[in-house]
Amino acid sequence: MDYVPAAVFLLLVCVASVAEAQSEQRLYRIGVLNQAWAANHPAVEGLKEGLREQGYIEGRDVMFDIRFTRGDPGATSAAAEELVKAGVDVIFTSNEPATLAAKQATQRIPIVFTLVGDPVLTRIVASLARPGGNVTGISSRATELAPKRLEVLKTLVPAVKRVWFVYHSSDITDTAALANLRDAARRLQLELIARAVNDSAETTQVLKEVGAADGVLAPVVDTLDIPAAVLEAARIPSVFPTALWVEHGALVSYGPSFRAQGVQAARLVAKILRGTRPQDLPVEGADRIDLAVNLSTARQLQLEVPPKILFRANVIQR
Amino acid sequence: MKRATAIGALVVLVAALYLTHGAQAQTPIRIGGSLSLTGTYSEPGQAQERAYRVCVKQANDRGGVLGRTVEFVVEDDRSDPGTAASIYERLMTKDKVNAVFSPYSSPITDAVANVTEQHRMPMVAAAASATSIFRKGRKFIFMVVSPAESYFEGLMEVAAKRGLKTVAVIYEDTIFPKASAQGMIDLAKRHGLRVVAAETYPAKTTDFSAIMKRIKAANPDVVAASSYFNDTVAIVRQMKEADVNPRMAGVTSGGDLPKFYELLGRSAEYLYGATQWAPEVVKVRAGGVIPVTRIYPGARQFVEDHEKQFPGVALSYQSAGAFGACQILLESIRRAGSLDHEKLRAEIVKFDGNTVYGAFRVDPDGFQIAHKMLMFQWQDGKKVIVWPEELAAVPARFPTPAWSKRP
Repeated sequence: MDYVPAAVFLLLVCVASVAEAQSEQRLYRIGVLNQAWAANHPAVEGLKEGLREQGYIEGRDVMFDIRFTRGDPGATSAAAEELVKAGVDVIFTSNEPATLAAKQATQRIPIVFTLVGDPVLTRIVASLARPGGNVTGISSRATELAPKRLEVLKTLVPAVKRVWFVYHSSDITDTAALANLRDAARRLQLELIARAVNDSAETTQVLKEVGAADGVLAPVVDTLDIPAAVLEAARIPSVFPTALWVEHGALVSYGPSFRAQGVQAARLVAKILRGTRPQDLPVEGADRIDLAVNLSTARQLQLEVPPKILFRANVIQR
Repeated sequence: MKRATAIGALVVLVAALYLTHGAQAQTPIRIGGSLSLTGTYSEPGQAQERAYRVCVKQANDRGGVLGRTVEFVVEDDRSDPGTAASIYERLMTKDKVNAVFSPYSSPITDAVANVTEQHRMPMVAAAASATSIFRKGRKFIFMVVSPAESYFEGLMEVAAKRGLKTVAVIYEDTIFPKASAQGMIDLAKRHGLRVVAAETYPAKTTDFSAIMKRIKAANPDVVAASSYFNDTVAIVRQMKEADVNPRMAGVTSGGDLPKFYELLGRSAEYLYGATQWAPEVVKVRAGGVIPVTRIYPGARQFVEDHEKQFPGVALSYQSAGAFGACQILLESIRRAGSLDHEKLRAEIVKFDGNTVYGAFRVDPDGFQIAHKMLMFQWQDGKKVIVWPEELAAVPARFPTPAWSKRP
């Protein structure tokens, strides 16, 4: 008689396991939204890698519906609405405009963001601990790290006296970083010239004004393709927010890697797929900050990389 | 006093006129060489010629070099090393050209290098990827391209990542194909792939049926052909005829030319090609974010100017290689401030930078140590960069379906 409840319990466990196994077998659709120029944004590659680590195999357990809008803020809202109409299970975003567009498009589908510099300031979440609504993600801590970027540039280029900060006028994160940057510039005895631009022509014009002995702080958000324009402006010592730029010719960067943010965010996506509500998942700060330096670019700029940078750098491009 | 001033002014005016006239009357800088305008290598040879012409025009439009215009003196070597060597000998001894550009292909460059070395004439080699050319103690030849040994780097890396195990290589028994085949064998070993067949053939072979029979019997996961344009086309055709069905097939030289697809049509689909450069680099973004044009400065202008000068003519890596070599030569002349061979050599050795073709830096032997290869795949009639992964906007189409299963 004592065995009956145990048998019922076992049966229930079996039924639950089968049900769970069946739900695990479902093919989830992950919508991806960003402003990149191709589907292989490193944050997306990181997401795929992270989901694989969590046991979600592409084609078997998850499929990706990737929308990238080639730096065009106007196209982002339409792409977000398309993902909602397509009925994806989760929307994975990279950067503020994409996240805000997704948030605007749905209050129902869970959104997991990456590359958002300050999610509270940009009103993407109510608070980091209790994000509320259908949104959570990884904060790239951009406003907090901006002064450090200035410091890194000054350490690497001690002769620099004037640093230009060129950013998109409507970008909240870069605008918010400005106050921190001004404080840091004062402390480092640097003249900070902040220029908010509205279009590519203005960016080109501002970059022409940059003197040979000046430095440039690239913005975090790639709207209007400003970071690319800074990279292409030859022979200017510039500091970027992530190592990817340094791997492609920028002098130095300080900040979290795009790919690592994708991997980190995949853990949140996996929890959501297993049933956790996004509002119950606190926003996480990017857990790895890289200091990257390009020795070849330093050589071309006739800069000697000080041991202080070489010792601390965890990404060295030769 | 007034008279003295007037005379003084006249003297200044005459001197100014003389100097201006003198500068205008300066003879052009004559840069000579041979190219394979006809014969086996005529396709890439002509591509190279067009690129040199674009480079020289750009330089002259910008005021020339050292205040002199640049004149391009080219002769047809008919794809023959001996003919090329004689042309260079004559250009340097009788025609007294000021500098030389390089011919097409490793065997021709090797033959020509014997002559240029003897005259201590610097030659920036636009199209010679055989390492051995640069390991003969020569001091006046400089490599622009990635070495032949690295051509299959992408193919081997991707094959290993996809879990493939065996590989076969077919190669012409000449300097470049041999070197890239040997490089592939080394790369295969490094990636844990087993070489199940290595088939060589003499130059000008047209019948590969016996080789295909042996390859089919070995049944490799990967087939790599290290050859030149005409043989590459023949090998692909005969792979189809013999129904050789690897899961990946890659080629070296010629596979990137538009004519390759024109001749092969859909048989070229799924084929991987190693390339030193592709016109797509002006659009490619690393990780979908970072434009890679900084690695190829001036590439956008080169692509536009080439289209203006040669409308509708497609670009190949040979075009960019020639243009890059020309940029290095002209810039080194500028930096040397002279056409003196020793000074020019010193500037090329010091050159550490990027051209339309990518990075350039050589070791003390003149061997290229900075440039990086790309791997593309023919997808729906277009060449798409699929490796390195960070530059690949779309994934490779894998595996290659059997011939019988293709539309």
